Amino acid sequence: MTEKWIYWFEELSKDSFELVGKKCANLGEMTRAGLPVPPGFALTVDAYTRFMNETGAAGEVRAYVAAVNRQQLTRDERHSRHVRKIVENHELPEDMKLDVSREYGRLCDLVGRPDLPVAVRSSGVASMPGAMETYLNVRGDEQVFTKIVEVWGSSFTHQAVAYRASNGLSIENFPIGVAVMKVVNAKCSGVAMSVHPNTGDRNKMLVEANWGLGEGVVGGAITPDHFVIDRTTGEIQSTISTKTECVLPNGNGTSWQAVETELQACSCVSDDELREIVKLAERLETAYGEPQDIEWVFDRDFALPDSLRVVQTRPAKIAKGADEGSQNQYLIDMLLSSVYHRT
Amino acid sequence: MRTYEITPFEFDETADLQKYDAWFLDGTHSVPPWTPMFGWSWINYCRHGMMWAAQKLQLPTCKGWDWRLHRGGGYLAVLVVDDPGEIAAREQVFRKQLEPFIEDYDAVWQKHLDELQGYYGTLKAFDIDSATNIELLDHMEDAFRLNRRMWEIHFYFMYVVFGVYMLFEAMMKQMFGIDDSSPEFHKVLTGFDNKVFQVDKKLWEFGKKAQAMGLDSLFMNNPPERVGDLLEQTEAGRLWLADFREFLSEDGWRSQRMSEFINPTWIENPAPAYMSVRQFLQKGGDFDLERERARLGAERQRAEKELLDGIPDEQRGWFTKLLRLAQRSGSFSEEHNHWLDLYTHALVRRALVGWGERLVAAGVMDRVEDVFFLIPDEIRRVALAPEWHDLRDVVADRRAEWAAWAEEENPPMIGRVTLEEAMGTLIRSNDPVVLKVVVGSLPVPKPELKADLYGTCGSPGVVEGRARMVMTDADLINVEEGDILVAPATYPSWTAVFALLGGVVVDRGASLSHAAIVGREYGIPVVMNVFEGTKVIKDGMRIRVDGNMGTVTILND
Repeated sequence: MTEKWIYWFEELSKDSFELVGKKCANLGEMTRAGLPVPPGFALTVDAYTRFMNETGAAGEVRAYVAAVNRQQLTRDERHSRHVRKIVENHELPEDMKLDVSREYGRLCDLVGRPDLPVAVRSSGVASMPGAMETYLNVRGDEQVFTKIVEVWGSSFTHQAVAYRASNGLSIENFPIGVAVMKVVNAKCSGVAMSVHPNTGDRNKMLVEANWGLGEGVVGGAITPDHFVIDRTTGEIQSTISTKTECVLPNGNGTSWQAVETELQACSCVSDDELREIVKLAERLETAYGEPQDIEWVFDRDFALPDSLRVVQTRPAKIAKGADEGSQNQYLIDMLLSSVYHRT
Repeated sequence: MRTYEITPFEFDETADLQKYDAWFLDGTHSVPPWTPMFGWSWINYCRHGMMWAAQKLQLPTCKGWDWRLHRGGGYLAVLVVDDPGEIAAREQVFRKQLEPFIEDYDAVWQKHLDELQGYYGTLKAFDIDSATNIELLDHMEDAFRLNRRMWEIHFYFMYVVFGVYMLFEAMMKQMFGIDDSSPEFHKVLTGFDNKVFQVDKKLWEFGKKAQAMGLDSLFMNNPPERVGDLLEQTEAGRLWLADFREFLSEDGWRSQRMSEFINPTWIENPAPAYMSVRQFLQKGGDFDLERERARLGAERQRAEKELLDGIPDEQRGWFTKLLRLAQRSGSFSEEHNHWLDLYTHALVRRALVGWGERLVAAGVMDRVEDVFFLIPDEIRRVALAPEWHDLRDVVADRRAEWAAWAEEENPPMIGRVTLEEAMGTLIRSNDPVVLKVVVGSLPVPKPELKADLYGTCGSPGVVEGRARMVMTDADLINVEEGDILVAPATYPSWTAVFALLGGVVVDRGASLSHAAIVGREYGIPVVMNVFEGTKVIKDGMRIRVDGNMGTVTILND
């Protein structure tokens, strides 16, 4: 097979979802729109089929599935575990390894780091949130080969199988795409709203941030640093909290870890970084034509402005027609921030 | 008898420049120099009122201003709060203090106005002529207490109202790109009635009445100082006067110079009011201001709608509130002069004149006005046995000093840093009253416009006309229809003359200065802060005033 089966994100768009799955198509669309997603490449769904056929895994799976009662298959986790094992017992064919190794090498060169830690993510043609695996901090050719196969194998997790069974999809043949992308070496991350969510003031932007990865802010488990930025004057109002814990990579996943004492009470985002976030939010707002709710992260492996990366963006939800009490409080907030302060 | 210092707040070149880098002259209020009595009252009560309001509100940035008296000039320094912890603690209280203003401004204002009017009623009802010296002394103390309270209320409002106005300016700029040099900015703030304009309207009506009674030529052909006597000589004149005195008993509590006691009130000497009547007669026609206000009001509503339609639903709520409050700010800025400063000072003057008459009768001094060269403690010392005292030497010394002060202008700043550095400190305080009243926005010369003077826009529009220099009240009589008034500043008692004017140029001023507010209500161009207008422009020159660009061009000599 000589057909191209690895695509860099910039070669893809939202129309590529049948080629590489939804996640990769989205990453392609964002890269194409000039939004700073982490760099990386996608394996087509055909690559999955090729692997399954060339290694003989397809036949083995088909045989096993045919032998098991369909109801049993969706109820008993042992069956899905067995099918995954079948897939994982096969190595990536040598010629496919060569192709992956070449592209992975290009990614390492791009960042300037050999054995660059990457995330290997599943990218299904249909959405099955959380049903298939994502591996973080995968390093070096061998690990990358293994994890690609494990992601393919994860198309047979119990949830994925159950989902296909209940939606009348083929159980034994479900090709998925794979994304191989740089793992963000997260200095800090958080959310940004390009509109003040309580008042709808488009001139005010809200940023919340913690050290480490974004799960540390999105989940709401800790009080993050809080910033209100005036988009016209660039003036920043900061409320810095004491951040004792943050989410960091751990093995092939993540975990909550203690923040060093001397960093706990420091602002985790610099003013220059905040200004980059404002610029990004304005670009996203223009691109999507409405205020955005953005998940972002700063990557230590790049210098500003390249260090700022988008994890996700979606339309911002704002409290409509805030009640009189909160309007009054908002006016008071503004009087304090724009008039009654030293300049 | 030894002449004492007027107050413990006399400027001390050594001690007062240790804590403070610089002191600024309050040129708006203390030029020409104050009499000792007024200087004493300002330094004590205005200073107290600012500190009281800053404390009551817990203003996060400032504890009011300190004041010193130097050669009859008031000098100020801002008491900035520097400690971040203290600022944060003050902010918490300040937030709460702001709530009533934002929830229901009108109710807060009415409550304080009612309180003051209660005092005014009591003081006005006091019969000075039949009072014993004890009663008159108590009356004087009551008047001083009112003075003190007036300043508390004055700054309790001004610190909030001017802050709101500044926020409105900032938001208009951020949300719509409109600053206060734009006609669009002023459209949403103008077209409101207020007490100052109501008084003007009554004066206009008295002009109409004089015309109907055949008295108009009497006003037009005689100096205002003689009008009263001439009116007394005819039946029609006496009838007109009877009504006019009734009007004055309510609205005549003002003298031509707001920040002084020494000038007679309209009740004592109505000449300035006759001058206003004459100006309206000269202008003829309908009451322009009323028609103008109806037009401005309609225009304001259109402009408001346009503004509010252009913002997202979510923002309309708080922005509408801010807009309403900013509209009140404009009204307060103009109206408070009538209800607070002018009224109170007139009543303090009345009590002091009462004492002046008694002290002259007792031989303590020679002229009633000598009382303004004393300080309250000196009146207290002699009040209950005046015949045992002689204050002629004190008065003579102080009068001589006062005359000398007026000869030599007070410096705009006394300090140990440059004017630029001191201005920088002042501007960084971000104190709304400093910025809106004392400093004003500094004009930016725009050489490409090839104008002779560069200022800031007070009221939009362009006009050409004859420059008419008005340095004092006495010059108002020379103003003719279409003239452009050129003055150091304009005063609340001058509003009637705006009906005649084509435009206004003033040396100093900010967007809430008198000339700007009244100019906008009359719909005539005003350029402010040209600094040297009264020096560069000569009486009678033809000039062009561009209120949109903030420039003045001399067309010919």
